[in-house]
Amino acid sequence: MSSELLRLENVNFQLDNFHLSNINIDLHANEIHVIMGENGSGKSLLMQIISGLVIPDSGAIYIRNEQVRKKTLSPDMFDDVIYIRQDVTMLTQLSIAENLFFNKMPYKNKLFRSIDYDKLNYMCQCLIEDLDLPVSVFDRVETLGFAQRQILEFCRAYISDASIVILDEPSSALTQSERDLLYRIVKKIKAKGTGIFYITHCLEDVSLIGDRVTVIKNGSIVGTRSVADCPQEEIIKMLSGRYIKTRYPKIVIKKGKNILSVRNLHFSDKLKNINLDLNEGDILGITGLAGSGRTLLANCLFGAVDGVEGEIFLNGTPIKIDSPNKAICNGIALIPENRLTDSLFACLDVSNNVAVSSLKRFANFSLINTTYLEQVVADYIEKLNIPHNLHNNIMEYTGGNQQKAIFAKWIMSRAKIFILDEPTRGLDIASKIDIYNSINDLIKKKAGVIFISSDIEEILGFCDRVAVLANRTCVCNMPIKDITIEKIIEFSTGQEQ
Amino acid sequence: MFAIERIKIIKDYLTKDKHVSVAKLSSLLNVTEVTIRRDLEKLENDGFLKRTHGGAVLNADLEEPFVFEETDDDYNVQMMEISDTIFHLVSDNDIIMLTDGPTNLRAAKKLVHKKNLTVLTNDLKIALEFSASPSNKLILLGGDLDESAVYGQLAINNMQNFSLNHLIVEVEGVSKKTGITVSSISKASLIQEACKMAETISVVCLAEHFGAKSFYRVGGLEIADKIITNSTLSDTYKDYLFDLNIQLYTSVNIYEE
Repeated sequence: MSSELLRLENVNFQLDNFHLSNINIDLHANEIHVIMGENGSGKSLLMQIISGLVIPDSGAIYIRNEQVRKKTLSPDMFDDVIYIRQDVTMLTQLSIAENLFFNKMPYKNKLFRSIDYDKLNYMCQCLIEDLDLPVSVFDRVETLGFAQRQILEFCRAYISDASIVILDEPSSALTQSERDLLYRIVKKIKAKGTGIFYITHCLEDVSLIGDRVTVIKNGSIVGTRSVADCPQEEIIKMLSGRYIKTRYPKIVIKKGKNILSVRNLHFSDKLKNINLDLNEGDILGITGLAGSGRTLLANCLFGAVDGVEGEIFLNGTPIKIDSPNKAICNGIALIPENRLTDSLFACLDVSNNVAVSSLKRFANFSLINTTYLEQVVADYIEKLNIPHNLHNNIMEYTGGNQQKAIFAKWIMSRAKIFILDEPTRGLDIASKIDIYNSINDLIKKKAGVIFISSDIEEILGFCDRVAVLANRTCVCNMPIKDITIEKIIEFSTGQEQ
Repeated sequence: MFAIERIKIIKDYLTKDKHVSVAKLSSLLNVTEVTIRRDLEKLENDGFLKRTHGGAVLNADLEEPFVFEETDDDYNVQMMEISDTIFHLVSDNDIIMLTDGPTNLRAAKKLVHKKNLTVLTNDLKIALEFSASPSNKLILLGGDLDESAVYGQLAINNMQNFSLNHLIVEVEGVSKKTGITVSSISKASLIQEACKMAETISVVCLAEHFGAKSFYRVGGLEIADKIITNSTLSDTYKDYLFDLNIQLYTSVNIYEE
């Protein structure tokens, strides 16, 4: 067995509602250790602990059998670990060479720090030839596409001296040929004797380059297997784990007429050929991995992005939704994923935050009847169990109550189509239950709901139909009774195409 | 002004004047006509009034000012909300049992609009509701009559001839410690027997009665598949029941059509 580079023993870490518990994991030299788990299962947090960005509450970390004791965060400690994140961190005004060798510039004169550009460009050219990259040394980073920039990030891992490399979902945004390039680079990094943690959702990655695979679920490790003797079905089984769907308060409503149908929706190169239908009383679940375009689809339907192609029909009439205002006027509501940046007015109190989408209702010759407004808001927030003080600033409330206030806002606007993007992520259970039950009230009264979530249990337990997004399109759209959690994982990881 | 207060005012007005227009109520209460129509619709469903073009008249069949004079309005609204959830949890063609209780009675009033139900009950008032509904079948248990419901060994023997899709029991207490409790021993034993014959068991209880306990225990909380209550339920119970994998319906009534 090759030598051990890193070992974590009984690491625990608590972050708000989430905790990593008793993590035991190790990494050997010359090894690609694949980490899998659904969104929010704690993969990235674990990697932050390994890279030293986060100090665990308890447990021990050993690098080459030597315990690492960290009291403070200091960059010196990360020499051995390089962490390539999903988002690209490049200086767009500089050339590729300058970006790649930013930490190890060749100097003509060490004292004056004058850069030896000839040597820099030569080093970079060697690297490009070595890896056979489709770029030139002198290209500035701003002229490159996202995927190319990502590939350059991987090159940084290649040229660094770190013995532990962490790649966080490197393949999710890449096309097939770019993926092949990624695999080539990763194999070269491995050949240097480096150990690699490779986070992915794609089962194909595991079988092509993985040596071992570890599955994480809800902050603890389900198991570690050697890829060679672990069939894919077993990995899927580990990913789906224990599964409960009966605790969601589902009601079944007789479906009414069609209120929204989407035909051949395209958006630049990110979404293609999307067809959806929504009836009165329907909850359509949409799931897929992070980055599969769920949020983008929601924005397309709400008119929040420009350049949407395809046809959208409301109640059978074709309509072009080119702005959120038009969407709201036509009875479409969107609860975005990120409530802090996209939903709340941090400077306003609760009553104004709730009433802001229905001010017309309270206006009397362009004057707002505040007494009436407050009466109606009080009625709403009482029913949703939001603590009763209309004039508190919205930011003083807990996440659950903020989210319920956002819900109240759209329910008050009497929309007919509700697009909910991760409405329950990160909420306490009581708020989740309030939200499920208010969704029930919506569908009882003939509204239609599009429910976007990465929690597959929730989708299966609460929706009527489920659509899975993968590879920029909708890969399945079927009634809940015909689908299983394993099937959804297979669809979203691109195994059935 | 809360919906509850509005409804009270509308009721008082109607009892006095026998008829009212939407416009008049709207200006009187300083709310939009849409809201008034919603209130009137609710009251019509309760059987309090009949809606007419542009207004409403007091329901002529009504002898007393209100059907459920024994409970005050606040309870009534909560029970109506719960009964609406019950209505949506029952599908056409189901074989259900409704045990005696005021919320189940309200649910029965709604369930008569379903098709092809088979309803088993021990409550005379519930049976009466279904008597005028030819599209559904009602089976009334026999047994010892206590107030308006039957219990006892006779009722239990009677009941054992049936198998149920869905049992809906109304109880007087739900608590973490004592489980599900009711006010009489004969009711407790009837429910215990009924639970043995049902695929799905729903427990109906007002949020106020969570944490309170009645004297006679039916069983632990885990016998319930679904618990139906109203939206004022405390957060601790929501957490607790979700962890027990019980579907919890809080009958939020918030969306205005």
